[in-house]
Amino acid sequence: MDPASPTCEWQALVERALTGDQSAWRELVDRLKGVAWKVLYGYDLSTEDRNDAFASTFFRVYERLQSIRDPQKLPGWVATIARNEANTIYRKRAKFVPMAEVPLRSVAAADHSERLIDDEMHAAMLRAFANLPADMQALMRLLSADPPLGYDEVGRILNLPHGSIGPTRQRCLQRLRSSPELAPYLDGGRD
Amino acid sequence: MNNKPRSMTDDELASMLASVLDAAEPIPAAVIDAAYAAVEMDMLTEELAVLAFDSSVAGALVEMRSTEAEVRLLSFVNDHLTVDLELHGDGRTIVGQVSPPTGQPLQVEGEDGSVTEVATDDFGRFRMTAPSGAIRLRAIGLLITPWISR
Repeated sequence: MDPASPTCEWQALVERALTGDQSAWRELVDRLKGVAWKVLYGYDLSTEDRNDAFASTFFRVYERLQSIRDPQKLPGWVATIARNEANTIYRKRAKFVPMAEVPLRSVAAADHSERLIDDEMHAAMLRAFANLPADMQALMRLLSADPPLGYDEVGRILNLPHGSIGPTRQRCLQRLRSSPELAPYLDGGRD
Repeated sequence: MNNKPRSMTDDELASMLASVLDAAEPIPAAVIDAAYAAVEMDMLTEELAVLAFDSSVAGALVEMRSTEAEVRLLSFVNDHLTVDLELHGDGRTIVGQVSPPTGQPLQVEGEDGSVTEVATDDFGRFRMTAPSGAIRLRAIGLLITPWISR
């Protein structure tokens, strides 16, 4: 899927979308939807609000497409817009705290569509993930975005210092490894 | 169980988690359709104007007298309107003209979501003190500019 020169590719898509080329815009949405969704999924919003935030994220992206100078930064840019949209919706709901940041939520096993998963190790991993605290879930989810976000971008979204992300990721993976759900599938739980 | 215990590196584990999450936390198709439709929604209201001229861009060679040196000139155009702007050196003052005159105020949108209105005169001229940060101008139903950073 990755072209030889991703920078040119992003640039060309943005330019085509700006001339009203709908297929270029759809391609941009398809490439960036995962990033926006992964940002929004970690927040404590109702399903309806999350869906609204996703749509309005892309509305903003489209509005501001003209002003993006470095199209290669689109994934990080979309992630930031998604976070802002989540905050905007959250603040509308929480009427008395205008500057409130939308909190993270812990996604429970019941929230997941486990029926879509036919591999039993994958299902075990998902149950182990659902037992992680909200901030760990959010971090691992953002780090799994495609196209990938840099540690600086992930840190900005989650208000984490850049230097803490690598070690926290390692701790999360260790917790998954040693969890009662996943450990039986792994060789001794060792690295 | 079918799977024999196996050893996996952190990266292998993380990439398995990524595909598990993609399957377990899918994006509803209707929501993706709404994102696709952003392009049409924008067109329904105001047509995005394109930057037709920017005195600060290299290649736009403009002869400027010293008194004008601190003014950046911008022009935005769409099928309905042209908006000419002079961004003054203080970073706040903007003088401009909408042509043809619309008789309606312009909306000035700030990055923080603020919206203020500025009146235009019989010739479409206006003057304002803009909020800091990027702004964009909207003539309701007719034109919206891209974000302008100063």
